[in-house]
Amino acid sequence: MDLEQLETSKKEKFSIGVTVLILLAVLTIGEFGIASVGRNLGTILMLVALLKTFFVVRDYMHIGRLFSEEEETE
Amino acid sequence: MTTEMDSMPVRPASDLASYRHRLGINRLGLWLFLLSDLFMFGGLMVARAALWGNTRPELNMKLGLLVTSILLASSFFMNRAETAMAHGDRKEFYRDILVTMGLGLVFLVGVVGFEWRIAPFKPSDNVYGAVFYMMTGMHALHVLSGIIFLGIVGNNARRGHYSAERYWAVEAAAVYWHFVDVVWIFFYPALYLIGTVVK
Repeated sequence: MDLEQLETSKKEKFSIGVTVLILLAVLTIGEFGIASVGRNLGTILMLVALLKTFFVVRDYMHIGRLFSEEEETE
Repeated sequence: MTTEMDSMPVRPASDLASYRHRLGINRLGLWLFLLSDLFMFGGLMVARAALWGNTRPELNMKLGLLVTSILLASSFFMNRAETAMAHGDRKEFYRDILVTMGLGLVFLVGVVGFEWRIAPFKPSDNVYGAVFYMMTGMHALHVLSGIIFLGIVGNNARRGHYSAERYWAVEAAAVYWHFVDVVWIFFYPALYLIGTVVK
């Protein structure tokens, strides 16, 4: 991988990180809003937490690496 | 005949292949450790559900939202630090790992320094106090150990222990940090949002 490709790859991965952060922020504010208007919405709040976990585990923790034969070419 | 070359450390061509093989085993080990840790946090969630039911104590919801946002932001910077190391960008790595540690410390101050002080109960007062301090305390302990872990990794990086090809410790520290974040993703609604407030 040459320097230009490396820089492009890094920028792409940084932008995925930004997208996940925005999603997490929106969902967290959404949780706060849901809790402010309703009292018995525990199931919905746990579903939102599961959705947030999905993004973190997939994009930040890279769970896919656990099942890959070879190390990713970063 | 022994030459100078014979006494030099040998790094055979298969060294990287061997490293990658060990990497797979290391990853499996780390995830199994996290799974075992998850049982403990899962137990705390079950205790919360059983003892609080559909109620919760009167906590500062805005402070809860603030510390949650700080921890989520720290995960973002940890991801940046790992990506930077994977691309050989050490400057960015140091900057991001320092920000991550700083945000982790702010989270700790928010929970242990402020929330514990303003909470309307003590650990021994009632089930609300017992569960609240147990959940936040165990989580705070993990945040603290994560900060120490990041400090060690940052220091080792400064001494040149990692490269774009070999940065397992950075990856492990990142995965651990995100795990602590995931736990809080469930603790936040369980402590601050779900149920009717009991005064």
